[in-house]
Amino acid sequence: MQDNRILLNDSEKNRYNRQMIMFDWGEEGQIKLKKATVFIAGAGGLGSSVAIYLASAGVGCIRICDSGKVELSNLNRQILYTDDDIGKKKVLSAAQTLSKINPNIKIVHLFEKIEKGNISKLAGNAQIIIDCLDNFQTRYIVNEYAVNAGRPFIHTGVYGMAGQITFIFSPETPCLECVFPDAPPPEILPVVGTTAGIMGCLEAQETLKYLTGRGTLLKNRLIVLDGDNLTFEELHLEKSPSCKICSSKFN
Amino acid sequence: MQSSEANIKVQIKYLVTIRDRTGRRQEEVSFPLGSVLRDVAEWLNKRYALSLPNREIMAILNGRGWNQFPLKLSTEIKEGDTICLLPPISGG
Repeated sequence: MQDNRILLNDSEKNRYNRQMIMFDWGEEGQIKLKKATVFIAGAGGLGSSVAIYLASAGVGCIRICDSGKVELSNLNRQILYTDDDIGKKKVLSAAQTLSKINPNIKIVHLFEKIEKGNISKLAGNAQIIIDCLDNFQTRYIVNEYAVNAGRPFIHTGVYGMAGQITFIFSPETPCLECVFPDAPPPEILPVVGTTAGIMGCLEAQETLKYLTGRGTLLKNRLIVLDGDNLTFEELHLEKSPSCKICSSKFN
Repeated sequence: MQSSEANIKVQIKYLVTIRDRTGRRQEEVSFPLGSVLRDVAEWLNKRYALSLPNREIMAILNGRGWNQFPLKLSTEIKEGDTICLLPPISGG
């Protein structure tokens, strides 16, 4: 049912026309996006791609969090930034660029390191959490929060020309630790910009599907991209009865 | 393994860079009834020098991390099990 309190103006109807004319999207779907808030954890390679597409699609409020500043070595893949941004806070540069891409939406930039003690405040009222992080240690913090808060959490990681993605929504699905209980140590990993772009686009698309209520989400499945051979492998995932994060929710 | 006495078969998939080390995407391997994940790891280590268990290789049995099974490497494998090995895809 259409929400009468939030409407699209003529400019928005024109801007989003090509997606609104899709079957089962329309004005109703677009208003759902306009009302939505998302939390993007990380404003690097994945975060750039996710944020640009969600902003372009008209997601009403984007909360984007990162504690880093733009470095020259980021620019092969972090397409939100240019040479002029080097040394600036990523989230601040990101917010400026995203506001230019779509001035109709709200960007909340959060220059903070994600920790157990602040994740609830950072995520705020976001309906969905999008993993654009670069290490498993922080992912575990976000995963635990998502499980306990009952929020959906899209996990993605990239490595060179490879990537993986799954849609976590505990207790309906396994959580991140069910599948990957042993974090590799943080390190500088190779990443090709196009890989972050591809995987970020998939995250953004899953987010749009979730927010508009269309399609089949990537629940209980892990897609692994092997970009060198351009294959996608799909693995079925299972909840772990001994998972220290989520098992108490479904046992 | 693959001896005439072997009587369960499992699928082992090698994803992304692990494929480079094994030279194949997947294979079906036979193990004696009662074999456990440690036997699979030893077979893989002998054949491909993967040094399992290894934090640089993420190992999944039927959609769950190996260490999420209460018996961990002593978990018994069964006919039709699927084991996947992939590198830590943790960048962003």
